[in-house]
Amino acid sequence: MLGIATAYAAEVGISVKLAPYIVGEFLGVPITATMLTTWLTMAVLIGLAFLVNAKIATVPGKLQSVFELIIGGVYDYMSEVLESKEMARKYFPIIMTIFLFVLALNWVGLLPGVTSIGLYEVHDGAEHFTPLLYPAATDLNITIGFAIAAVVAIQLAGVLALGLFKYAGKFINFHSPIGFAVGIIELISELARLISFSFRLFGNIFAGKVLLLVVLFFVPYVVPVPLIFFEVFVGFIQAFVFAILTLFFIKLAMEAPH
Amino acid sequence: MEDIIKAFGIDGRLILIQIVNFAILMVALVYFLYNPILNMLKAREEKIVQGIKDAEAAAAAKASADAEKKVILTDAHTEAAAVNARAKSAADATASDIVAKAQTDAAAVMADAALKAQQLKLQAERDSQAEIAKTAILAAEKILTQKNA
Repeated sequence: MLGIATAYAAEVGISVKLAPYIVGEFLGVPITATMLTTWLTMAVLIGLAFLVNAKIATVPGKLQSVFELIIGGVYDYMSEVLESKEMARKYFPIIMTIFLFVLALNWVGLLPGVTSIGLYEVHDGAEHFTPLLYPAATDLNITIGFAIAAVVAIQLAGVLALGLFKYAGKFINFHSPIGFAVGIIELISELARLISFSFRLFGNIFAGKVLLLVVLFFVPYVVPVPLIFFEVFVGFIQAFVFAILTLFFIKLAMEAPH
Repeated sequence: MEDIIKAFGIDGRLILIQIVNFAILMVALVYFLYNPILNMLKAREEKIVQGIKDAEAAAAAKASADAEKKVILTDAHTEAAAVNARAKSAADATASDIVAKAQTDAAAVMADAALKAQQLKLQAERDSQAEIAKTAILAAEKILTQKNA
């Protein structure tokens, strides 16, 4: 049965859970609300890209101007950070996609209908509300996916820039006991990035969602508006931080060991 | 650990799906958004650089054309002055020739006229002498006739 979350929340109180809502199953794989949101967001982004690509011209239209500003700005900044246009072009897709994808996911998560439209299901004799769409970054699976993509890109950048053995030498170093210890610390910090990347994004967006949920429950009018604005800003900042950290870690990985 | 994984609902398959999602989106955006826009920006930058170069070349060409124009104009002025001077001197020469010829002609006409006048005068004198003689004879005859009568 289709339902609206607020009415349900008014009846049974707020329930917050860390695990994603499972909407259905396909070939034994659970389909979560966050996954549906991710696919919707991908469709929107690819649709926009199609639109821009279809009408691309030397004298740009409004939509093209916006994307030229974003893409050109990021490309110029990357050229400065990586000190090479060639390198910037090489790693541009991963950085730009992280930024656009995370940004779009965070903003789509704030749209009306996301979290509030869903299905009523009966489990163990009680009715439960399952939203069809839910902010994607509140699902650790999604943020871990991003973190793995970013960390793999960082390691690849290091290996491509220095060669496998020289890059591995940053972490496994038998020249001196201190060098060995530093290498092990480097290795741990490299692995810790997976956790920091995924939990930073997850934590921020999850907290924002819970905050909005609580405020909407107690004061449904006016008060949530500035908070929603704040969440729009947080969504941008998180996308920016994720992308820029990936860029800086790529730059660090490409530098020769001392 | 298992509790944590369960609490967060972590599922390796979902993570894999998300990585695939990311890869698909990245490829699609590279193909439909990044490459077209970056190529367009590059093409525009090249066009602008070319445009500036062309404008500089045009300005240089204009400057050299201006300089050339100046040289040509100066040459033309000098030549025109020379031609003018030559024409003037030629005209002066011709004019003095004409005047001299005219003077000669006039002198010849004058001389001719004086000669003719002289001749006419002589002729008139001769004619009047004959007339006078004739009149004198006639008068003498008349006197003689009166006396004889």
